[in-house]
Formats: sequence, C-alpha cells, structure tokens
Amino acid sequence: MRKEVIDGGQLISIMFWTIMGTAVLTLPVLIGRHAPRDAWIAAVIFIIGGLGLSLVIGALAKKFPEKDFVSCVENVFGIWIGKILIAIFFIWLLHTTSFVIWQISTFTKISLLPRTPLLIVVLIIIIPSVYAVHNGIESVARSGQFIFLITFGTLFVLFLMNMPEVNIENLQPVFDDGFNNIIRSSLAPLAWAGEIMFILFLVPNVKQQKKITQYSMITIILIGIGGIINEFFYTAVFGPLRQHLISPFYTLVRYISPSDFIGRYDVLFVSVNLAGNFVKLSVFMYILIFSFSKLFKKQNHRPFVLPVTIALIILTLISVEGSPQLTNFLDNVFPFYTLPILYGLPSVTLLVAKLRKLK
Amino acid sequence: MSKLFRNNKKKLKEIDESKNTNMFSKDFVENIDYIKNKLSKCCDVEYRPIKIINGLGINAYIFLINGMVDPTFVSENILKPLIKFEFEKDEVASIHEGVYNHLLTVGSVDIEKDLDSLVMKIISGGIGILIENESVAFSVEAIGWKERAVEETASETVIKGMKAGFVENIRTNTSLVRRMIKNPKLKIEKITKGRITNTEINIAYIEGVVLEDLLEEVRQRIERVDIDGIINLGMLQEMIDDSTFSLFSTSYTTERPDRACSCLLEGRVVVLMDNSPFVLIAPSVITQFIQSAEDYSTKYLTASFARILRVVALNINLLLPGLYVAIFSYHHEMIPNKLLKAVADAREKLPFPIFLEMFMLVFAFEILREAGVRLPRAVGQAVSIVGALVIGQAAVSAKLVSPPSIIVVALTAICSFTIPITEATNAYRLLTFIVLFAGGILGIPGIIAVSLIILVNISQLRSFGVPYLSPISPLSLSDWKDFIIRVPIQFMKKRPTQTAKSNKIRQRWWKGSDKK
Repeated sequence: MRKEVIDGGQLISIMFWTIMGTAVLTLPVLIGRHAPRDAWIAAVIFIIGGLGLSLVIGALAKKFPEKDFVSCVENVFGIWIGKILIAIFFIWLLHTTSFVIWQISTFTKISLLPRTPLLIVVLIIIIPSVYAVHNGIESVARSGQFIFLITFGTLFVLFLMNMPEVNIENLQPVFDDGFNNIIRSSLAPLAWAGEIMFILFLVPNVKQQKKITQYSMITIILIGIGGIINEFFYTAVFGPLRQHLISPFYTLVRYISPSDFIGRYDVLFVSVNLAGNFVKLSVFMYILIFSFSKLFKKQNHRPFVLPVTIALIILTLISVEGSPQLTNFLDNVFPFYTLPILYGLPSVTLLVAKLRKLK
Repeated sequence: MSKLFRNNKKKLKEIDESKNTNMFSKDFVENIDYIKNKLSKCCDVEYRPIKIINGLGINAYIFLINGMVDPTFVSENILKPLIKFEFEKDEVASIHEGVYNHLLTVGSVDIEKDLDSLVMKIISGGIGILIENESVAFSVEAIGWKERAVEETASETVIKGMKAGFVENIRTNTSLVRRMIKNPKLKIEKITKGRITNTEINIAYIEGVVLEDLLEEVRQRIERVDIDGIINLGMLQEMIDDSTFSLFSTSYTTERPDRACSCLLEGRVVVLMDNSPFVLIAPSVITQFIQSAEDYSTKYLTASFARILRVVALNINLLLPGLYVAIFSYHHEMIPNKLLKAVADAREKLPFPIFLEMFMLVFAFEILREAGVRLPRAVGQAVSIVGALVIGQAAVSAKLVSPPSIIVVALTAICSFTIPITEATNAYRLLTFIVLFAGGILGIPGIIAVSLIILVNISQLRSFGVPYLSPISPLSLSDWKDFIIRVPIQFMKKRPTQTAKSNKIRQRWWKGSDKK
C-alpha cells in the first residue's frame, strides 16, 4: 500500500476541528458552571496546557519519526505492557467517541430534526465519517482542510455580529470567581486540549516531521484565541445568565438579527458545526480503528471499519442517558481519568524512552 | 472460470495472428498473391499491374483503397513518374533505390520490409508499390478522404477568442496544436490501439515542462488498454480514468485548440485520438470546473466576476432544489414571515407534497433536456412550446404545481448551463437528484451529510497522481491566482505547482526587470 502523506496545513485544519468540534458545544457550559465571570481565563489555561503537551509531542515525534504512537509505546514499554496501555487508550477512545457522537446527534436532533429518532440522526452523522475513514487519512485530511477553509471565518463572523449586545461590565471584576473555581473550571478545557496528542498517531504520515511541534502549537493557539473570544462574548452578552444556558453558542447566534428579513442564523451555525464535527468524528474514528488494527498487528485498517462502527452506534445509544447526566459526567468524572491518559501517556512514554536511552 | 479464461486467450490469439511478421519472399507473384489474399473480399481495394521506368518495362504492382486516397495525387505524382520517367541504370545500386531517389516525386515514402506492415499502410490510406525482383516495397502516404472542415466549436462557444475547433482528422488536430506552439519541444508520440480498429492515439506534451512521472503514467495507462476497438474518446477516457466509482471524472475533454495548448503549457498531457474532435486533458483538477477559455481574453476583473458567478451557480445547481424542499418541509422557522406566507398561499390548493412536486419538476426538466439533445432541429420548436406551455403554464393553472417551485427549477436549470465543462455538468445533473432526495427525507442535516459524502468522494480522487482537490487541499496559494479569482496575467508567474514541479517559472518579465 502507498504511504499516505498529509501536509502541515491539513494537519492543523483537522486538529483544529478535532478539538473545536464539541468544544464549541460543551465547554462553555462546563466552564460556566464554576467560573462564569472569569471564563476566558480557562481558555488561557487551555493554551498553556496545550502548548506544554505540544512540546512533549514534538520531542516524541523527533525521537521516533517513523513510528506511530502504538508502535512507539510498544517499543518503549515492551510488547505486553505497551499493548495493555494501548488497549486502555483504545477503550477510553471508544467511550469518548460514543458520547461525542451522542452530543452531536442530540444537538442536531434538538435544533433541526426534533421528531426524528436518534438512531437515524446518528446514522446521518456517522456515515460520512465512516466513508472518509474507509478512504484513509489522506481523504480525511483533504476534506478537513476544505471544511476548515470555508468554515473558519464563519464562527468569527457570527461572533462579530453580536457586537451590539456586548456589555463589558459583565466581565468585571476580574478574578472575582476565586482562584480555586478558575482552576476547577479549566480542567475540562485541559482535557479537550489533550486531544492534540492524537497527532502522535499521525506522525509517520506527516510530510515535515520536524515541524510537528509548531503545527500543534499553531493549532492550540488558534483554538485558544477562538476560545477566549468565545468565552468573552458569552460573559459579555449574557452576564450571570450564562450559567443557566444549555448551549450558549446556539443562544448567542439566535440573538443575531441585523435585518428584519433574515433573522435566524442558527441553521448556519448548526450546519457549520455539523461539518466541523464531521472532521472531529473522522479523526476520532480513524485513530480508533487505526489503533485497533495496530493492536492486532494488521497493516490494513479497512476490515475493522464496519465492526468498530457498529460497536460505536450501539455504545452511543446505550452509554448516555440524557443531557444533564452527560454534562455532570463531563464535569465531575471525565477530566479526572482523561487527563492522566492524554497527558500522562505521552509524557511517561517520553520519560521512559529517555531513561532507557532508546533511539 | 479457468475454462472461460482459456477460451478468451485463444480468441485473442486468433486476432493477434496478423502481428506475426511476414518478410518479402523472392517470388514477386507470391508477394502479390499474399496481399491480394489479405485484402480479398474488400470491394473498395483497387490494384493493378504496371510497367515502370520508361524503356526498361519492369513489372510492378500498385495497391490502393478507393476513397481513402486522392486520385489526382496518385495519377500525377505516382503513376505518371513511375511509368513515364527514367534514370540512368548505372547511377544507382538497385532498381528500388532508383525508384526511391528519382521517380517518386512525393514527400512521405516509406520503405517496407514486411508484407503485413505494407498491408497496414494500404488500409490506412497509403499506396503500396511492389517491384519485381526487389526485396522491399514502398508505401506512399496519399490520404485524400473527405472530411469536415475546421469550423467553430459547438460545445464550448466563446464570444471573444479563438473560434476554430478540433475536427475528426488527427493530423489536422496536431497541426492546430503545432501552429500555436511552434517549438521542437512540443512532442507528439504515437500509439496504435484497438486490435481490430488500429486507432491512432497521440500523446502531446512539452518536453521540459511536463513531469516525467506523469507522462510515464499516461503512457502506461494507454499501453495497458487491450480492446478490439476504440470508437470514441469517451471509451478511452473511461478506461484510463482513475475515478471508476465516482460521478466526477478525473480527466476532461475539450474541443478547443487554445484550451489544449494552455493545458500543454501548464505541464499537462493532451491525448488526441483519430476520429475524435475532442481531446483528453490529463491530469485535471477541480479548478477547471469554473475555468472557461474566455476568461483569458476578457479583462481580469470581468473574468473573476464571471468565475464567482460560476461558483455561485454551481452551488445553486447542486443545492437549491434540495434546500427548497428541506426548508419548506422541515425548517419553516428559517423563512421570513412574508416569504413563508407568499409561498404558502401559492401552495394552498396543491395536491402534492412539496418534495413530490419538486421531484416531478426536476425530472420533467431532465426529460426536456434529454429530448432537446436528441430531437431533430425541425421539431425543436414544437418541444419547446410543449415544454414551456404545457409543463409550465398549464401545470400552474391546473393547480398541479406552484409558481415558486417552477422558479426554483428554472433557476437550477439555467445555473447548470454556466458550467464550462461537460463532465462536471453531467456529474451535477445526478447529484442534484441525490441532494433533493436527502433534503426531502432528512432535511438540512441530510443535505449536509450528502454534501460531506460528495466532498469525501472528491477528496479521495487522484487524477494521474495529482490530488483532485488540488489547490484547495493540499493548499497551494500560488494556484489560487487562477482559481476563483483570476489575477492579471502579469502576476501569474508560476505554472500550477502540482503539474509542473520541475519547471515552475512561467514568466520573468515585470516592470523594472530590464534594469537587472
């Protein structure tokens, strides 16, 4: 099989949406629960955490430029411990992907297709991604870049159209929420920033491996700036009210009304979000299926696409009970086991590799 | 299964028999009998014995195919000199050398050493000349069949710019290209394909600009073709294309020499085929969807505006019927109240749901379009009257369809004609239906899902190794100068990055460059 190659622009595009896809939907809610006034600080911590992880990713990629993360871990820890670690990661990813799908489909269902069964919406969401994953990472990357180019501006334009509603006083006084709350509010964003480590699975496919640190840093900064603007607007527009909103962005977009003629931009937002989440889901599923096939030492990932997809659909339908339960879970449980996996696994791998002086 | 396969192989052998070489035998009569035998039961073959070289009276024989050669040319330049002229026998080593040097007053004469290639030359419009006691024969090219003159293109018309289009004769076509690119680096290679038809295929490229890998890929793909006959270019296109399982085709055809030449200059390969007034361009990428030959003969601002129009029209063509159905059946809240009321009033007494109404209209339009292509010119008016009055006016007054739906279909139809490339138009014709179905069944999420599937399908395509989504992804900004916006020619200093990696610089001239 020909080796698939993706370039820096494509990597940044797909990683941007990989993190941004559900971050737009969920993070404002999670941050708002703890620090509604100083929400933007969580986005700054997001950048710091992401940049730190980027350094680890860059170092690992430099050490093992021809190895993806699975063979890298197996090389560093030995076959058996490595396989166990990857299996843990795989199970984490399977579970995470299932509620990523749930989030996207529920959001789509509520906003556009309220009377359609969830299974059908899940199928609408998952089929394009399955097709992209079946075609390989190049296809994911190219369509990801296409989507990035046409959607990147849209979100910011939607924000700027809200300028008349902004009230800066809602943000003051800074640090009013208390240090502990701010740190607590930044745990979920940090977990999202950890997803940048997916780059490690794509290292052999990247064209210029020396620049991987830069690529992941650019991605993190882009998302971070987007996040800061996001949180700034939510607080500035809604004030203390934002704590009670289920989907602040959606509500914010519904505020826009520049003319009497067209007053509903939420469909545009849902469409952009669907396209972005297609990229997110494709990357998640590609890594999922890729790590699964690597776990069993198979070079071709295609035979695993269908079984993993079916497992994912079933998991999606049974693993989440409802929106409040998911929000609670993402707030109180998810970061505490995700952070060790996403940050710990690459860091420990790097540490052990350095100690064992592996080349 | 294996039995079938063996049978196939046998059959192939029977036809390939003609490829064994048959050298001339010593016996003159035997040679003639061999050719006569090969060309037996062909009523259009003519042959006659002649005595050549005035005075010597050596026996000779000529073969030709009536209708494929120019009769005056044959009598003036071949028969007359052969029979009437003479030369000093001592000056030449052999008779055939003398004939070659002194008698045949024509440009393209080939010396044939085996009988089968001589037969091939005869049936492709040559004249075979056999001389007694000589081990070689001559074939003279004297093609003189009737053909269509070079005239204005039918499929890609422009207001400004070159009018001439390619014709069926491959030599006329190569001459049209050669006239524009007068450079020995313009290479035209010949490949003959089709076991029975022996169709000539030419690969044109500019040496030093084209990528060797690309050229080799095109060559190999054409060489791989093994079929009894290639009748039109579409068959060849489908056989060497990458995208068998996609609606989009990864190579385009054009009828315009100027377009072919500009593609050559960009480092692409142009494939010409005998009997085809279209030529094939490889590789092709998505930018060419919206590029028309006219863009380069109008001012860049106008051209850019036209291209933006085309992008909008392309999207309207693809999405509008689907969006219309989706919005009016699922997402009423998106529509401004007044518009919603207007459409609802128009649809108040209609019997059909909006999806069915739309489907019928789009389908009816497709039928009209298909009929419009096939119907004879004389009844064209009848069809347009039936189409416009019956389907349009009568359907509205009979309260079967609503005027807004007709507006949507008409706009979609007109937009589909703005696409300069027929391959793209055909792809979009089908995709419109798919989007319409998705919108009717699943609303806007369905349309987005279908668009994403189309996007993935395009993104995995490669045209002769070049990613189909090329200037968008992998992103190369210098190619965007000739994409949605066409910048002034002075600023387009580079060739497309994907097709001309080895020789990128296109122009050096710019203000002040003289001073260097």
